[in-house]
Formats: sequence, C-alpha cells, structure tokens
Amino acid sequence: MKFTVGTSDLQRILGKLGGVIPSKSPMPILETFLFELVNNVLSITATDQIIASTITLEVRGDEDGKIAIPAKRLTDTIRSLPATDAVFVIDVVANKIKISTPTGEYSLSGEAAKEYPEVPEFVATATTTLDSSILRKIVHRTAFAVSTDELRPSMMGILLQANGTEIRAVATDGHRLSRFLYKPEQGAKLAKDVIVPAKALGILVKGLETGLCTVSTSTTHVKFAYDQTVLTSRLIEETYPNYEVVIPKENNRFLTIKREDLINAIRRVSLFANASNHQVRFDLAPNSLKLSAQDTDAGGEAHEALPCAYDAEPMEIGFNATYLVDILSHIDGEQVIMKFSAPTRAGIVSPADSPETEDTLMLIMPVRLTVPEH
Amino acid sequence: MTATDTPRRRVAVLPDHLANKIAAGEVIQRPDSVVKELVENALDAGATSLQVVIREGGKDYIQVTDDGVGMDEQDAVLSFLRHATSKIATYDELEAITTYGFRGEALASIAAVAQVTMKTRRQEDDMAVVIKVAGEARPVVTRDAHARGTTVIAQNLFFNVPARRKFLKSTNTEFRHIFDVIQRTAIAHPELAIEFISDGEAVFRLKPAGMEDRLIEVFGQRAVEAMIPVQETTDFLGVTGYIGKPQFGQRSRSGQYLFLNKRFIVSRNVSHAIHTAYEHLLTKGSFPFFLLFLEIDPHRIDVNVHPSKMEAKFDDEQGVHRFIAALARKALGAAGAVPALSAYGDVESPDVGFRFTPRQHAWGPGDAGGRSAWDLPGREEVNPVTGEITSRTGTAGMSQSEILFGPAASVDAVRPQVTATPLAAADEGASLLLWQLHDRYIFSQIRNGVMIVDQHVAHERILYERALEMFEKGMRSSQQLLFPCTIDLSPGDFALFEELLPHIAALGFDAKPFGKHTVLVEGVPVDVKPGHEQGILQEILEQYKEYQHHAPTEVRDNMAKAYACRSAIKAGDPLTEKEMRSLIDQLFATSMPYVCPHGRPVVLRISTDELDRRFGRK
Repeated sequence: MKFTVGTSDLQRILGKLGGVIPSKSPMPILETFLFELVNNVLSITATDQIIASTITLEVRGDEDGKIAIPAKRLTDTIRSLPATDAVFVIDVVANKIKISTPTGEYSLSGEAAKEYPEVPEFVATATTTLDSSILRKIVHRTAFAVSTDELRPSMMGILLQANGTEIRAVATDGHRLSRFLYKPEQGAKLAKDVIVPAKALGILVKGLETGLCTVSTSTTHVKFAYDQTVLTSRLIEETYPNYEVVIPKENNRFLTIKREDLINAIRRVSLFANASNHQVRFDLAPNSLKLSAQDTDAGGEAHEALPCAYDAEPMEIGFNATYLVDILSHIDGEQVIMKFSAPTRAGIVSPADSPETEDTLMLIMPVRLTVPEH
Repeated sequence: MTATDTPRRRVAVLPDHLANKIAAGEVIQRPDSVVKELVENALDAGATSLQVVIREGGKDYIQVTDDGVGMDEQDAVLSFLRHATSKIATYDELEAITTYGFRGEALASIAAVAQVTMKTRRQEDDMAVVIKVAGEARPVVTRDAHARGTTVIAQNLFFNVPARRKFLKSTNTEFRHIFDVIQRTAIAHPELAIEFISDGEAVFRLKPAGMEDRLIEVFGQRAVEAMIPVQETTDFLGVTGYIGKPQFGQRSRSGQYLFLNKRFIVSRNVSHAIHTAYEHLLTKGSFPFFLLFLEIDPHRIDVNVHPSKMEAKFDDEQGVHRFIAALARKALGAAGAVPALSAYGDVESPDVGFRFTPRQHAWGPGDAGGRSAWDLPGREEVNPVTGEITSRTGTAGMSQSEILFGPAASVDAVRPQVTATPLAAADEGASLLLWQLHDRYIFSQIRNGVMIVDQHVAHERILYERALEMFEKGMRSSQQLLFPCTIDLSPGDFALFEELLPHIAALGFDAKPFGKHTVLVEGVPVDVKPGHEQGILQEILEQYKEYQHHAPTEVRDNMAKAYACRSAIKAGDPLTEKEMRSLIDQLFATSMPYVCPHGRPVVLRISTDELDRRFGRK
C-alpha cells in the first residue's frame, strides 16, 4: 500500500475524526484510524462502535490496500510536520507504516485491517436534506440541555421528530427542556422519532462546513452525509419521556426583557448566591424585576433592578442561575419573553421575535424556596 | 435512696410468675418475637400454608394460623409449660437440632406477657381444643370447631408488664419488624403459602412457588435481575443463593439475608467474607446484597448462643470465612461484574455545551517559580488538623480558609512579582492550586505542605451541617422536577417514609404518598445530583435504617447523616476545578471541617518538613 498526501489536508481530516476515538477503551483497535486506499481515493474511518465516521480525500495512489494506524501517534506526527507532501509506504503483511517527507522518515506499527470493527451498514427508510446551518442551529439550541446521566439513557440524546413539513428537536435533563421547531422549504422526513446520541451530533457540528447534509434514518441508525464525510450513529433505542405534557399551556404572566441585560445581571447577582444551589430570586411587579441572591453560609447578598415589561400580578420565583444563563445564552434575539404561572411551575423562555420558519421554546423548573414565617 | 425507703430484704427465690415474666423478656422482646416464635412453631408442625394477621403493629393483636399436624388436649396444655417441647428429648438431640424451636420457651413466654388463645385440631379429632391463658391465671380449656392445624392469638402484648409496653415503638416501626420476619420466612420457604394481613390490609399473599418466582414476588423483577446465583457444596458445608451485582450494592446492610439450615441468622463473619470479595467493586460505605442458604451438619454449629437464635457459632469460623469469600469472588468474576465503561465516551466540545471533564488541572502559570501566591513569607505555621495557629499577626476575624491559604487580598500583594503574566493567566494564578487524584482525593498546595481532602466525606460534612440547619431554621429550597417520579417502596419502607415525612420535607423533598406503597416525588433538595432523583429517597431511607439501628433516639441526626451520606458526591465522581474550589470553600465554612459526621478524618496534611525528612533532605 502506497500513497502521497499533503500533510495539511491530512491534519484537517484527522482533527475532525479524532473526536470519535474513545478516550479509554477496552479494545485497543478502536484507538486506531482505518486507512483504505482504492485508486486515488483514500478513506479514513474512526469508530467507537456506536458512532462511525468516514472521510474520503483525493491522494496520489500507487498501490491499493488497508491498514489500521494508531490514532494518537499519527495525529501527533502529522500535526508537527510542516506543510508538505508525505509519502506513506505500508507493508500490510507486517503492518509497518513508513511516512517519508523531504527531510525525515517516521516508522510506526499498525494493526491488520481485518481486526478493525465493521462499520454498520443499514437500509435507510427515510432521507431528508437539511442545510448545514440548520443542523448547527438544532444542535446549538438543544445540546446544552441534554442529560449526562447514564441512569436515564433516553435523555442522553437529542430527540428528533419530523412530520413531513417540520422537524423538531428536543433535549432535557429533567430540570430544563429545550424544544426547537423548524420548517424546511422542502419538508423533512425521518424513519420514526429518533434519539441521536449527543456525542454524535457534537461530532457532526464540529465537522460541518457549509452546504447541504443528507440525513438518512432507519429504526436503528442515522447517517449524516456531507462533503466527503459520512457519519453513522446507532440510535438510542429507548422511549423518550412524554415531554409535550409537561409544557404548560396556562402560563399567562408575561415578562419581556432585554436578553443580554438579563444574562449579565444574573451573572453578577449569582456571584452572591449560595455556592451549592446557585439560586437567584425574581421579584416581579408591574414593569419591575428585582433580582436577588443570598448566601446564608458565607453571609453575602446582592440585588439588582432591571427595566422590563410585566403587567401581571406580582410574584416571586426562584431559579438555578446556571440553568437560566444556559438557556438565555442559547436563544437568539435582543428581547426574550418569559412566561410564568406559579412559583412551583415550569417557566417558559422564548425569543420575542423569531423567523416564520422556526420556533424556540425552553422550559425551566424553578427552585422552590421556603422561608420560615416569623 | 435511703434505707427507710427500701427496707433491707432477704434473698428469696423469685415467685414463678415473676421469674416467668423475666424469662419471657429474653425470648419476647417485641411483637416481632411473638410472630417469629409462632411462625417457627407452625413450620415445625409441618405447615404448608400460613396466615399471619396483626393489628397496630402487633401490639394489639397477633394471630398465626397454620395447617400443620395440630395437637391433642394433653399436648396442647403441656405446650404452655416452660421447657415443654416435643422437639428434643435427649441431650444428643440438642446437639443436632433440625427444628426451629427447641428450648420449649415460646408459648410459655408469650403466655406470660400476653393474653393467648390457642385453637388446635389434629386430622383424626372431631373438635379442636381451645385453650385460653392470660398471665398467671390458670389455663381454661374448651372445645370449638377449627380446620386441621393450629391458630394462636396473642392479644395486648405486655398487658401485665407496663414498663415494657411503654417501650414499644410506633405502630409503623413494629410493623416493619414483623414485616422483616415474614419476609425472611417467605424467602426461606418458597414452598409455603403465606398470607400477611396488617390492619385489615393484605401486605403479602404469596402462593407456593419456586425460589426465583418467590424472590420476584418479594423483591421485584428488577432486583432479581441484579442477582448473581451462587452454589457450592463441600463435605461439611453447602451454600446456595445469590449475591448482588456490585452496581446495585449501594444500600445498607438490610439487604443481607443469611439462612443457616433455613434459620435466619446474622453473622459478622459471613458478612465480612462477602464484603472482602467485593473489595474495590463497591464504594466505601455501601454494602453488597446477598441471600445465602448455608447447609451445615448441625453438629458443627451452636445455635443456642442467643435467646432469639439470631446468631450462630461455627466450629470453624475461619474455614467458613475463606470458603464464602472464595465463592463470592468466583461468582463475581464469572458474572463479569467489573464496572462497565460508559456506552457513550467522553465528549470534549464545550462550544456546543457538552460536559467537559478535565481529569487533571495543571498548576497555574502563576506558579512558574515553584512558589504559589499563598506561600507568603512572614506568616506562621498553621496546623490544619488541629486548627492550631501559631502566628505573630492576629488571625481573629479570618475565615479558616483564609488561615490556611492566606487572605484573598494577598493575591494582589504578590502579583506584581510575576511581571510577564498575561491577564488570563493571572486569573488562573489567583486560584487555589487543586488537583484531583483518582477522582477521589483533592490535593492542594498549602503554605507549608500539601493538604489532601477526601471529597466524599468533605461533602458529607457540608451537607450534614446544612441538613441540621434546615431542620433548625425551617428554610429549605427544592428543585422542582419536570418529570415527577414515582417510587415503589416495600410496605416496610413505606411505613418508614410516612413516619419520617416531616423530616423528609424539611430537607427539601416535595414528596407525597401516591397510591398504596408508592411515593410521588415532585421536587428534590438542590444538592441532589441530576438523575439521582429517582433513587435518592430510597437510599436515604435505607441508610437511615442502618443508623437508626445503632442510635434509635437520634431521629433528626440520623436523618441528616443519611441525607448527607447519600446525596454527597462519591469517591469516583470526577470534579471540575470550579467544583473542587467550591467544595473546599464550603468545607471550611462548616463548624467542624476536619471530621465527617461519622468521625472519619476529612483533611490530611503532609508538611514540607515531613516530605523533606522522607526524601532524606533532613
């Protein structure tokens, strides 16, 4: 096996694939890239057995072949080379790789390609095409709310649903929830409601540039194809919690406020919040919002008044500042609308204006504070 | 006390009724002992089905009905006499006990402290014998109709021993003890049909079944799936049963069932043997589940060491220990019970909001010269373990963390020395130097050495004090849940839950009964880690039971400890630098940062002097 490749092209590709490689794995073979050369096309694959990503590029091929090359050693080597052409000469019997540049020669041992796990092939039953910018938006709007808790595997992914005309993405960790709806001009179709592992979408977004991406789904797998990349992931085959029922319909106390101002004020005030609960309190009165936080352990407190529009009955409600800042930072637009009903019920956060084709809704569960009566 | 109050008495042999009451106290300690003795009698009588009915946790009424062989009138009357037993006749038989009862104390003891009615009929008799006994009164014998077998009713336990009656616990507590007895019987005898009715409500209605089906009935499908079967037989010892997969071991000792020749016993020796087999598979403070049936030649054990027969002595304690430990180790190995790697590895792309978990935290660049900002000259030594400070400058008004690491203001004082530090790096340098070892201990450079903090006990101390404060001040905050969760408790735990509900609420749980033995959780204390909402309450109850066992009167304290222990971060939880910092700040804001609520050390310090000595520099 022999080919010549530009080091900067190769470095860019290895960088994109590196995220797939598991950080610690009982199977050393997963810590390699699979290189496969057919004529002048080199395919490089990385997998963790749930997600597999393959990127192809044009090289000058001299002899076809397949080999698995240790990922870390190769990436480190290519990264430290200057921009030049590198010649790979590989003995696929002895599994020896020799990389030659105009000034040096680097040899390392690989693994036989037949040891490399099969990349899953599946028959897609639905295919849809989305613009890269939309996929990026979907992930940006939702991924932050994904649960990292392995006790609830369904919540470790993003739920994607499509009904032909719109696609919706949902993520929740049980304390907050994000739902993003988008109506692509050409419609959207999925094999069924799918839960895509958050890691897969993270890798997707990292690799996406501009242009279109084809999303193919079956009941067990999803495939994203764009540019020279094919990213396949197993789906999380769990039942997603029935999120529609927890979205309140009767929240009729509306607060409209400048998003950036609110974020900054929460950040300042929450510095004085209790270190464990990060709790900030909203005191709402007609056209008045007072934010406050108190640290009973360390004895600090802070409050700040913000201009806003609010015309319902006064109320007090507490939130985890971290969750709220997260939510506000993943919304666009100058103004946000927050809708409340009661101090123990979910609050809704959404942008004041959003394009016709999309709809963003975030939910946050409050922290109920009970203060003894005197 | 003076001599006039109590005139000096002569030594006298106690009258029978008094002696009986005292002896009864050994066997009958509380309602569950009555149930246990009567159930054992029923089993010895060859029962295939058993019905237990109690009221008011057995304090008011206990009725045990079996379909065993029954007795004729002579035997029935005799059975109420102390040391009257049909089970052993000679010393040789005592050496090889195979029945449950053997001392002949049960009925006599029960009758000494309760109003007892017994109805019993043998297959061949037409009418049942009915005997009523209460305290010292003579038994009254009549006849009545009754199915084959025996029914014993014990009413108003300790009616004639007010001192003991006063010491009975709440109905819920007594119910739980009885529940445990019935549960153990159900496990040891899957072939036995059991009906258990408490205050008119059926708690158990178990049909005769195989072992596995019975366990599913008793523990639930999920729990049984988490069990690894074990089996091994040698010349003198046979073991069958189950041990729990390590990841399900996070409860208290109450998930440990040991049956010796089908008799429930407690053996520290066996518990310890199992525990050693799990070694590092369990986090500190959690206990493995096990359910083991030991068959040993009765000659090789002594069950007569404890009045309620809960303990047994093996002739060869060490041999049993070795055997059990090896067996458990083998089963764990065969089941591949090594913790599995996560299905979805780590993701390091903070730009889309994924969790980023740095495993190590490099020393800040401000430390380039090998000196930290806190390594101030001119300050005197602090011993963090004793809190003892020898300093020329007054330390009054300083926080403990200020004493340890120097005042925050000193950062600015030293920063000008680090001239080339860019702004971002200066921020980095302003932070404490922290490093997490094996996701378990936090290392930190202090002014003259290194401080090591055990992250779990540190958090435990913080949460413990916070819980006590919540009880004290009635202030609590509760993170509301988007998806309220329901928890199915065993009837025993449910009773405990209802008993403790005010305390549970005070901690910040929004929980309420929801159906028969189900609890609905709508909010949890803010310290509960996301994703643990479902299990935490049950774990706290388990832990509470464990503590309560040792110090029954300290309800609040035990609750605070149980909450702290179960909600705290565990050894093995990776922490971000920010989390470590916050943990240490909070720790030193507590009243007693150096010991955890159980008395284990939280902070360890190694001085540079000590290191110098070890490296032979001094």
